[in-house]
Amino acid sequence: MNTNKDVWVLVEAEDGKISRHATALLEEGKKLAAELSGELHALYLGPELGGIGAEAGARGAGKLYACIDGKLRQYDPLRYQQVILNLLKKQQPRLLLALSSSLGSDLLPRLAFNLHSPLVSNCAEIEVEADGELLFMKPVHKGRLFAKVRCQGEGIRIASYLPERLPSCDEAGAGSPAELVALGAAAEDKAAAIQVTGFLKADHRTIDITEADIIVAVGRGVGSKESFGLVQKLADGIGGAIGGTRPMVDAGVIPYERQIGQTGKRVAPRLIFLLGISGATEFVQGIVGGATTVAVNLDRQSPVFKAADLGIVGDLEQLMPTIVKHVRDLTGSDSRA
Amino acid sequence: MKIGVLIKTVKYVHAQTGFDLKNNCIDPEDIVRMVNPLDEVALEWALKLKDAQHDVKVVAISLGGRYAEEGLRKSVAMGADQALHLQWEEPEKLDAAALSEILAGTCKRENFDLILCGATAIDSNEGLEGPYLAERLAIPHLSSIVEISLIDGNRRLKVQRVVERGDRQLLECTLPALLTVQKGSVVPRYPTLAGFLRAEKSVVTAVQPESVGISAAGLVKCNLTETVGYCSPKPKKTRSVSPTPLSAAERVELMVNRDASRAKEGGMVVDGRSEEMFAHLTKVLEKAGVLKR
Amino acid sequence: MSGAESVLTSPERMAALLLLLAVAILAVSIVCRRVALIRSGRPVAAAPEGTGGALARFLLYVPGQWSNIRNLSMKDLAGIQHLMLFWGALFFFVYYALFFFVGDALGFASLLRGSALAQGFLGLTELFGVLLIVALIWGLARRTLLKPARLGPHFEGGLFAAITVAASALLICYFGLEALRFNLQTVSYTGPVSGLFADWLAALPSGTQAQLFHTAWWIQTAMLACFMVYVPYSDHQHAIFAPFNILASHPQPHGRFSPSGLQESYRGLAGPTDFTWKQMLEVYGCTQCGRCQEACPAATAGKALSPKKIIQHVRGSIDEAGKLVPFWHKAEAAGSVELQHRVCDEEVWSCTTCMACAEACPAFVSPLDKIVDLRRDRVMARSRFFPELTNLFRDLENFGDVFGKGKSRREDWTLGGDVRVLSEQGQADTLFWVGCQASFHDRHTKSAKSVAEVLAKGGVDMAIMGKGELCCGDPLRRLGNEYQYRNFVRKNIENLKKLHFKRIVTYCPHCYNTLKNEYPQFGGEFEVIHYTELLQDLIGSGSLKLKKQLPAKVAYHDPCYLARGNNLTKGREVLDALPGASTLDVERSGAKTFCCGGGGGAMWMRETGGAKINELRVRELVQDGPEVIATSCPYCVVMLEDGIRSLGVENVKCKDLIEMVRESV
Repeated sequence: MNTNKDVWVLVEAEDGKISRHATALLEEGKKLAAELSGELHALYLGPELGGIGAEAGARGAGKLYACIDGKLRQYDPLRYQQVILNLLKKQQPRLLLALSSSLGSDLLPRLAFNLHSPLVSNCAEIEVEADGELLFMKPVHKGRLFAKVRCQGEGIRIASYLPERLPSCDEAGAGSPAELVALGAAAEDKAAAIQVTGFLKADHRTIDITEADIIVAVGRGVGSKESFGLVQKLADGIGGAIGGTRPMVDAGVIPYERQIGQTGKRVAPRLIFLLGISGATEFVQGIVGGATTVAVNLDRQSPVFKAADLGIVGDLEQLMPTIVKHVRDLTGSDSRA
Repeated sequence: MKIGVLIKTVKYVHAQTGFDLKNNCIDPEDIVRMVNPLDEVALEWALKLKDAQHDVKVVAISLGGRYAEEGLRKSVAMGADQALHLQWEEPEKLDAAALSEILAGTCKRENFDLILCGATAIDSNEGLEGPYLAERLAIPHLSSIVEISLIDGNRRLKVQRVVERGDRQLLECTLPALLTVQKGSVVPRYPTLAGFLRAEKSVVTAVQPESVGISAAGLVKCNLTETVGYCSPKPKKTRSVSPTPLSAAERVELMVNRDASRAKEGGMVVDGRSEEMFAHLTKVLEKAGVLKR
Repeated sequence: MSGAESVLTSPERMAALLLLLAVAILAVSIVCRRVALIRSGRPVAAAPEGTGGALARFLLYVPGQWSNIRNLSMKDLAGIQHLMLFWGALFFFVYYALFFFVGDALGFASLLRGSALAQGFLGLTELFGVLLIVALIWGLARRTLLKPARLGPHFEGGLFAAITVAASALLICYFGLEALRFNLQTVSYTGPVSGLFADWLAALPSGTQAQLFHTAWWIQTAMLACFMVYVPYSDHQHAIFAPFNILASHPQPHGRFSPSGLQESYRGLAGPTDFTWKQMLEVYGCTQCGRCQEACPAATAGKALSPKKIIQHVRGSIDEAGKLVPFWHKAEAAGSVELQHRVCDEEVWSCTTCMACAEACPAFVSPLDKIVDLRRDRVMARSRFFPELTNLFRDLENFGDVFGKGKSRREDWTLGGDVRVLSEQGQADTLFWVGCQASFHDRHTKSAKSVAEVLAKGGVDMAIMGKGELCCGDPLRRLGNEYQYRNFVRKNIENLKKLHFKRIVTYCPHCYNTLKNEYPQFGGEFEVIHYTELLQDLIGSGSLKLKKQLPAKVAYHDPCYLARGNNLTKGREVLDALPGASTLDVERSGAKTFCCGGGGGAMWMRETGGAKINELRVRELVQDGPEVIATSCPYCVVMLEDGIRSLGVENVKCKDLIEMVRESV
């Protein structure tokens, strides 16, 4: 009978600290731990990260179980599994949370199977029900419905959480740093069935737009070749891939592979710029997922502004130079390669 | 070489045009039975590997009732050499842990060198049957794969898996193995007429779970999770207050006057020549994590 | 008794006879081999036409040369040239067969030339000879100086110069010989031209004249032999095959495509004999006049596609298969390539299936059905097409419509309105077949509502199929996906047969065309009309009163699938009935309408180079400054609107005809 009511959160790092989404997950974990009358603990595997204990503690983590190993710069399935499995078998928390990132989606099934634990992947919300059990809600049928799932048996409940469903965090409150529990690194095994052999950084100039995180999309309003040159500078400045509407493909400005829309590709970026695009349904249908959208258009009444988080009304020919300069000043470099 | 491809004919709710709130307004016509798109991508990878070498046999496997068989015929049309239909009515009642038990029974018998499947299904949105199956078969597995090549005399795989921001991890793995695939830049091939006609005439091998030692009662006990119901999607909780706090009056005005000059919920429309444009733009870029601060 | 016998020696005649016989046998064998090749093509379903109809057509188009006469205009006088060529050639054929071969060579000249009938015939022949020379020089001038686009891009001026020189030599010899016959007293009369020649030549001593006779005679024989070898290999063989093609071309609406065999044995176009014998006959009946190319919107836009070149490709590959490539082409044939590789992807996929080529052809050749067969080969035998089409095919197969929206959303457009859905138990006079565009596309759901409203006002008892309606299948057939097309047709026919209605009215011309002309091929016979026909009836009978004035200058664009595919131009009449609207003349309208560029699957495919067809058409439509461009096809509306926008034309709106009617009732 498992009396442990703790919530553990597996955190991932980005740009030298705990990533935004992992931080938000810690907050979520804190909330659930409180409802379960348990404690929040964090779990981290990777290279040395200065201040991670403080960060985790600031979000409410009591302990930080960390396996600091320079060789874990990249996710290594078998080594992560080895380190975490032993730990979880010993500690048996109530709930283990991770992001439904590429790492989380790969790691959690391994853990769940070997712990004989129920796993609910891609959760949008988790509630504690009256009987103390957890209710997981996840989008199904491409988000049309939520399925409500309960776990059975006595095993550790394991869940991956959709990052886009996590509310964004404010500044952290005060909190003492988490107690660091060092975990032994996994032995390197050259004969392991899975070997990590390298890493390919995405080049925003060549990446397929369906995989691109940031997109700069162009439409008829872009106008001249000079303006398009500036569009490319903007894309380089923010590391965005260039996409566009069908008329731009028809006019030969961009190749067919970069067409977004009903007869083109479906894209799911985090951030998308819509430059000189009117926002016709055939185009807008091509953008799925909640992307932060910035639209620039001459016409204040253009339907594109209904789809944008930030709408800028003005003439692209005049605005592009100022926008590009502003971005350059902010990013401090010409290209983000 | 024998490649198994897990095919799921999804029961996909693509619209809600009914009027009965009790069943979430789902009309029978709203349900579309189709082959899970990522499973088609997996099959395309298997067929690509078959095109590149000549001694590869591609076997499509599906678990379910009548619709699973239709999905298998589509796989044969695309080019699968054999189709195995694990007959099971109402697979929705079993979760991934239990389903992988039936799959494992069959796959053990078939002795695949490589098993491919889609990373997730558009109806259940889980992505667990593949990894659980691999664990049951005690073979290595990797997810979100977008490039596959056979190396070392068909004894190892060289793969690329997607991580965030379009970056990719390069990995190698021994065979036999299981891979779950993402779309990448693959376009599943469209069958030729010969393929369609072959599929119409082909024999889909039916496999009864009992023949691989599975009993219905035993399986239901394998369920570790249970779907207790469905509801409409809930909006995302917002915790923090908007940085430029609007007064109550302003908030009401925002809600009431929804015309083109007010963009998305919380969105802004500004003049391109104004100073505030830069401030808003900076905020957007910062929020998106473009600026390294 | 005098005759040519006394000038020509027996050995001469024997030699000439043998030469001509040999060449004739060669020529006939070539033609026979070609006929055998044609007959080895796939069979064609028998068409319901009486011999009377076929004969009438033959007489009108072959001796009557109706196509040439019909095409005559101040800008295009070439028909006169062809009339001269045709009748001239006919007369000379008779002359050479009868008077030269049987007469001179076999020695029956005096017998044949004796009668007044013969004299009259010969006189006429001489006049035609003059006309022939004029026609030949005119033809040469067209190919070297005038160079009209449709004869290009390869004008073959050199070849035609050679033919002109050779034929002129032949004719000069002919005149000379006729004249010399008189001067040498082997005949007793001259014709109008030979009379002149006779006077000019009379001055020469008779020995010289006799010499000239022999020379001219041999030149003539040589020229004849050359032509007899050349014609069966060249473009001029259309003279042999076109008449038969015209006889076999039973009339049917251009919009009706033939079904293709869908058996295991379907090989696509693996070999040229995978075409039907009718298609192969057409290819040899092609005159290379280029009217198809001139009418083709893709060719006009400068794209890779030219219907004329498609026929050339097909002919080349059939020639090679039958080893009928003339020796002077052998050098090119060495690098010859299969048909499916000769025709590049851009050519095959640029076609908008507008049928202008089939309509323009004076010889009843349809480049369109060969392009469609090339598409079928690519889609069904090779699965070789642009990836965006895969999305279209998969959406259709999984969801039943071109947008991938799904059957259950078919009734969404009716929300808030008053449209009845026909159940199996119910009954309606008219079933409104809405179509994918009007059911789902933002721009066209308004038109669907307008149709429902207007027909209700007109007192029509109407209902829709609702969720049971699937895509009519038209895009599948135009793109060459016959297999899926058949699946859709069968399902639709099954669903339609469960319902009780008298007739179907459609919004979209593509749905109209396929339901009316092609569904019967699969056992679905329904009475199908387009909404413009129904409107015209209602307006005419007074059931629908058009009250409000809509003052506007309107340019009407006839949709291909109505005006050309089905000879349906009721839209224009409806427009004329709208109070206040004044219809402008559009140059290419009715059956000659110029495509909007949206057909043949173009809506879903990338641009294939060249200019944009819709922009060309918009430029044409706005020439006289209309305020409105009206049309009655959803694809045309989208394409023309897009053209207006991309050209930046101001003060013109594109409107759907039904919208205008609704505004007026």
